[in-house]
Amino acid sequence: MIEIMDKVMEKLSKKAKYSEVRYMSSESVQASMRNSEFMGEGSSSGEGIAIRALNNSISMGFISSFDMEKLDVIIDRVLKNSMKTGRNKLDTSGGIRDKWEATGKHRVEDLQSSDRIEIMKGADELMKSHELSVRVNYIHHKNIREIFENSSGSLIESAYSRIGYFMVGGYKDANSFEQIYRQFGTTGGMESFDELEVEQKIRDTVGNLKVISSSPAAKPGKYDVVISPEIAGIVAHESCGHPTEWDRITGREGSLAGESFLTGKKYPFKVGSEVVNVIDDPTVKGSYGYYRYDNEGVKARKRYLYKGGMTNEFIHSRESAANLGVEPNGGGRASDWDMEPLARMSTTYIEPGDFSFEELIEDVKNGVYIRTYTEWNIDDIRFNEKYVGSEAYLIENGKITGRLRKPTIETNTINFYSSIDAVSNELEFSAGTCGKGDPEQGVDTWMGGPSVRLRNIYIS
Amino acid sequence: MVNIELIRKKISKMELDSYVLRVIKTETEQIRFSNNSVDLRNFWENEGISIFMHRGKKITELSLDNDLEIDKKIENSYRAMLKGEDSTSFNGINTEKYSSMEKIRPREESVDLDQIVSACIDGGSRGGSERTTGLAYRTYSDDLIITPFNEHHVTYDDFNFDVRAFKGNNTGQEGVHFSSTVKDPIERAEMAGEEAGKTASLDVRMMDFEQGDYETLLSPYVIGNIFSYCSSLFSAFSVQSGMSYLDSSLNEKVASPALTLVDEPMNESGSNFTMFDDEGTPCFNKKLVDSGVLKNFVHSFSTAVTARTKTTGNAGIIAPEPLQLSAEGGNRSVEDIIQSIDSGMYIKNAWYTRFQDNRNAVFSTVPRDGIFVVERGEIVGRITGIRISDSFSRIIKNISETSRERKNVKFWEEVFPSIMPSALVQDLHVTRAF
Repeated sequence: MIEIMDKVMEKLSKKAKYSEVRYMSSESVQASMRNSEFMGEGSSSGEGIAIRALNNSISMGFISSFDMEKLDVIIDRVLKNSMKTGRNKLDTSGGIRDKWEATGKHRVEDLQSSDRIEIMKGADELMKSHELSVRVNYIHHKNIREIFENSSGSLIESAYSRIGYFMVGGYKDANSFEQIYRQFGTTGGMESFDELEVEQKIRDTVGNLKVISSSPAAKPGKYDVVISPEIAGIVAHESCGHPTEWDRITGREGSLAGESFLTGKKYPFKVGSEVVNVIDDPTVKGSYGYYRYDNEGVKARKRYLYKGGMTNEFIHSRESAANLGVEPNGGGRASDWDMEPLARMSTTYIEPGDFSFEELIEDVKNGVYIRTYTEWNIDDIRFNEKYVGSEAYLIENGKITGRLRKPTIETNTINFYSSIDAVSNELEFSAGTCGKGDPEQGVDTWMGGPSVRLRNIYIS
Repeated sequence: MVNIELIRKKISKMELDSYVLRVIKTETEQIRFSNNSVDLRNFWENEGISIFMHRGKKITELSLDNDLEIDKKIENSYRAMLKGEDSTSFNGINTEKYSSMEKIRPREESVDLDQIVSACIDGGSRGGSERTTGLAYRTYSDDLIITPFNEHHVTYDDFNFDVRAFKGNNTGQEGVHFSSTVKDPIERAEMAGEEAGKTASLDVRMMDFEQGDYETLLSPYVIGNIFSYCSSLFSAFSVQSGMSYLDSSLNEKVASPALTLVDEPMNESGSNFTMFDDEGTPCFNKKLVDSGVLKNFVHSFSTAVTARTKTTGNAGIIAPEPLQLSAEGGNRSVEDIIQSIDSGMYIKNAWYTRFQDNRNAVFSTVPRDGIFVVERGEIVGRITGIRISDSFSRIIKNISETSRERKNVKFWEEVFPSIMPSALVQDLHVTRAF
């Protein structure tokens, strides 16, 4: 493949100020089970080349054939488009020659159909034992190989595996329907999937649905609220990770997922209390968003997005970094060979503090503890957000005293982060698939954090 | 180029009960732009191959981006299928033979995508936009399907674009899809830009807002968003999974008489015009809700066998879905409907729809791109920071009328290509952040 890429690069380099060639292949298997019935398996084998050229503007081409005649047509078209007018800032750094691998010891290609079915059956039986009438389980894994080459002398090869698991459960009685979704994911071999303890986490969750269905709603009003690592993760992702993607701030995603409440602000901008630190780090080993180099051949590193309650660093692709006049920081991700790289998150989390979970609770007189969530959403500038609790409890005089059904936080980003007065010393992650771009690209991510205490939050 | 005959021969020789071979060649160009300048020009050329195979209750599907080592990949997939468990709910693919369809639409070569982008930006400026952002697509696809019983070959030539206009903190957005049978793409781009610009620049004051139930006119994008996210309620797969509250309501009143909802894959004006489904069954239009009465779920052959009915030509072999939703328009114009609202709202777009209860479709969605207060028949102000927090069953029961005008709407992944009117909804529950 490198030989073909070298030929493409040679042709591009002659007529472009800067150029890239990226090869990516993905061998994947998916299987699903619905209400104890095996629904079948599928496999896919995708591969292709993405090329990018910079001249008067930026242009990309994507092709799944490696026939040189066809590649020549794409090269000509990309070069021709790059001569048209448009934005033309793109980081052109290079000179990196490296290889990395994260395929683990127990490789996913050795998994048999029976292995996948056994995992799903275990989950299904657990759900069934808790009287869940809707039970959907889905497992998928893929082996990815990438080669990145640019006109500045970089050549980076990588091979990694990702394993994902998704379940939906529903408990139905005469009056209500309670549902739960869970997503798990890891990068590496099956041993890293085993470390996720999927079955234990499903067991921990599904037994709650029946109880929740008969729990009382919270009396609307202001409470001190303790949120779990799961809620901390979705908050970090939605109201810190997304608004600090620099391409959103500058409006490139404006007609799609929108811009950012940070657009037009002076930085650093105060977003919350001093205890708030939020990190995005692609180098968390085993994480669903793990990588050592991004899809633009830039070395990955940890980034403090919010630090001490202030904005600190933004997530960058080569294009967004050049627009701001900074070095890219390894956030340029493309979900497949036929996708453009965009500024994306990887593992986004609120940094843990010093409190124990018990200390967070014992200092609450009238509060709500939300452990898992169901519905959530946020507006297109990532400011006005909503989280509906699933497993949730009432806190009275420092003790958890009873269950609550669907306590709902509907607030804004500044109010949320400004209300935080303590974070625990725990750190847990959950998996997600983050959507952005058009064609929409779902990239694998982790999100997480500690338990977090907020003062005086309106609950409905 | 993929050698289809070799693949067909290979599969035909295998011990299968049936198969579906599909080859879709696509050429797509795209321009992304923001703040009135082009960010990126993209071009894709792809030849996707998918092969569904089954023997008895054992099934598998193989998807490929090219035909390199295809024999080996087919054999591996076949062997894995035989080793796997039965898919107990699978009932085979459609064996009925239909007349072979061959529809090769000449490619419309005269349209330059750069002109469409310029038209979007110029239209936005004319409408009052300070800056305009969006993207435009042109897709030409060649779709061939072969089963042991049917063979069809169709080409499609489609456009779609999103344009979002900004003036200060205000925005307006339009998203349009159409096939090359529509002859005025540049005019449509200008009109979309102008409409978005007018929404962003409408000169009314910002108003306070209390959460509650409001008479609300939902634009084609909002109602399209709700129908897109709730379309799976009409899928037999959801019904058979226990994930549709409509499961026992066939031929019962589920919505207001003002709602007639149609799955309209044969509407050639739209970019989801589809002639055959994923198992080669010819598509046809069908009413899902007729004047408020639930008339149909959508089926593949397999789900139809389970439900003891006939396929509706909506495969997904395992999970059928509506292909191109269309809601019938009413008698009055949008302008007339607004004039009839004494105290309420007009919402022009929404996104990020998420469910706390998928079975009963209890959800919230976040309005954007024009949220207006209507008093005594006039738009008097704007509001921000609200959320529609309601359920699909309540909303469709509370539609009091739909507008005469309909639009081919598509917005990112939020509104599937559909043909929608505006809809006036009584007592729509709206919440706000505290």
